[in-house]
Amino acid sequence: MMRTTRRRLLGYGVAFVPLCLMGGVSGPSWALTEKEKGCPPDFLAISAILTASPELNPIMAPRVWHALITKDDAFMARYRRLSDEMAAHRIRSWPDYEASGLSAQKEIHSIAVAVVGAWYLGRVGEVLPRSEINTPAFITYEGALMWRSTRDVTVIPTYARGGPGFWAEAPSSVKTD
Amino acid sequence: MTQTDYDADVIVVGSGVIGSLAAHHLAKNGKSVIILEAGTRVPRWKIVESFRECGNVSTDAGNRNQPYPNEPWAPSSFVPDYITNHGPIDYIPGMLRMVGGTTWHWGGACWRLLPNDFHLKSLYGVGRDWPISYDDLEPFYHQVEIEMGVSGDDTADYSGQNGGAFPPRQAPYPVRPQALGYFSQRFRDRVAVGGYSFTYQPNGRATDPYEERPACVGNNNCSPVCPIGAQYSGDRHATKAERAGAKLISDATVYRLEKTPDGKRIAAVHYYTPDKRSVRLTARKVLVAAHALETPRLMLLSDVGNSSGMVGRNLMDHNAFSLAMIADEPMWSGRGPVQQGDVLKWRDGSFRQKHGCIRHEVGNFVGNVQITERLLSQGVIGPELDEKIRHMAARWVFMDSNIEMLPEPTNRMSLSASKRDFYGLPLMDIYYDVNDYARAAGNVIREDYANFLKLLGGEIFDQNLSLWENRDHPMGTVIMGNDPRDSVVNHEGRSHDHDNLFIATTGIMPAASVVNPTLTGCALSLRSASIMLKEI
Repeated sequence: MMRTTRRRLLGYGVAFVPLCLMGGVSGPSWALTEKEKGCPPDFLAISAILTASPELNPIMAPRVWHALITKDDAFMARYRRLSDEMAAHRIRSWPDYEASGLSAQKEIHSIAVAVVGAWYLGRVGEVLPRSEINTPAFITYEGALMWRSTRDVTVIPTYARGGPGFWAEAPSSVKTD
Repeated sequence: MTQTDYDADVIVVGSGVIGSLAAHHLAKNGKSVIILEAGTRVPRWKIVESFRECGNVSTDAGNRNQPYPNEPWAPSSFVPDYITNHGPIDYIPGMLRMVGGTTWHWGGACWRLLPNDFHLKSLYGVGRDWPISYDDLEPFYHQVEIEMGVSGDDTADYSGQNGGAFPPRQAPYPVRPQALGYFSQRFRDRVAVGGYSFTYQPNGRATDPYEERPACVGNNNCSPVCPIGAQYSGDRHATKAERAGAKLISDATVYRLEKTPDGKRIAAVHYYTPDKRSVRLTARKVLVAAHALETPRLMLLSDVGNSSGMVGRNLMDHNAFSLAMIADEPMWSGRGPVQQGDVLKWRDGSFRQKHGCIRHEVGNFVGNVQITERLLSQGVIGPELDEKIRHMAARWVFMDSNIEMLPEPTNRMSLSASKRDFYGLPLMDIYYDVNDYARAAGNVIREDYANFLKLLGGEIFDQNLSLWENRDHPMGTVIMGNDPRDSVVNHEGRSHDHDNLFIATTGIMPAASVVNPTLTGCALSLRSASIMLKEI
């Protein structure tokens, strides 16, 4: 697990470095193409803050980054703004972000939402119901964070959670949901 | 001179459920059958992986064609230029061209029509009557339900009148109903207060293991692909037909039905291979089961069966509206299959003199994708995002409606004057509109949606009351009738113009009713196959 530290946030800027230089991060060779092997060194840490998720999968970070810059030519520069602002405000956690006032800055917050959206939806770009082209940049299906808050009750579609007819019973959490 | 040598007794064009059921029936009864399929063959596991990795579709949104093959010689329907719309309403149905056809990505609904649906003109003074009755088709409904393993409620009044079991059936459904989910139970109980009954939807999912299919375990992805094959899809009978002796040739795009010199029969079927080689095959009879749009396209390309001028015309669907809401209690949509029941209050009645009948289909989807997109669009991130996703997903209710349309010759597909396919053949133009009969039903839906919102304490998440969404239920394009002057096929599904040409697609249905037409298309196909059997 990668810890969110001030050094990570402030020490590297957003210059591209091979992911392996970040230390402690490796994955199966099939997981990343050469093009996908880089991302800003603070990208995972910033993602963890904005998603309030210290447990983010580090292998996924370059894929998320690659999807973001694939669908938005200006994203690299936009991200630099976000990174600089977060460093300037010494943001190390979600409460820090909330307290910083950055969420009220429309442009800055939209960059944060784009980062979070990529992790949550597992893709970047709008779904196009009748198009085979210009479709979203794919990141992950079952790894998308949007599933995690309901996984104890529903399924990630295509996966199963019980035998035939399990759905007839009320979810155990229904009285508190 | 009478021809005695043929490549097969029957050539079936199209390996979707409608063609494959007929091919299987003919082959198992000893006939030689060749099935020609424009698309390719892909195993289920590859489609499941493709679904998970394509990023442009979810179980309740996006391009349902996307996970499937899309070959240059057999494009799926959302490829640019495949269909060009010229009318006031765009009409491009989701459609696949591959072994097994479009039931790879259906919701599995297996409806019978009602007896009154066959007599629309006589009873209500609108549309057309069928040249056959419910009783003529009932034995074939029964047969198809066994072939497909249809699950239904033997006690339900499927006319929506809260009466006894209806319509009449010669035997119980072959598969017992699935358990109603907690969501369905709560929906049923909440809307019942307002006089709306929730009826179990007949479907092609295996409640218990059925033949080679496992029991449904609620993967909640019936469309775009059931990952475990518990839900019926047309590839089942394509394979069964092969096992019975039929020869299935994939990647074979039929482009011409060749007439005999006197024009009274089909002499041969011509297809192209992907390397653009042309192959000619002969058969005693030809069954074209190539979808409600590709079938008339092939007929127009071949100048076949169109003495009435009706080929491609009378296009119908069930265009209507949809409603997504956040209810006032956690009902937890998304446990079990993606749809379990319908509100059938407006399925039949004297109101059909004035407006089309209506069916509200109640979804049972995991709503996380759309909910997350909405929350992100509102700038919600941080811990609040998870909290709100859960809160809204627990209360997610989605329903879409269907409206009966009438056959109108002006609603039509025709050959494109400018767009060409891989082989240089004209693609399709479509002119489509929704007439006043359907629009009047739209007003009823508006009232019902307001009632559903009240009954469920709902807050509108998304409500479409203006865009006429199609339901991928094309019908009418090779219309059935007694009069050769205004119809394409007779009551047998046989071309009025060519004695040995049969057409099997939902396109032959002369009245749309308001239910998914697949089961009726299949029953008609088996009826045609039984007639062909007697003549070969």
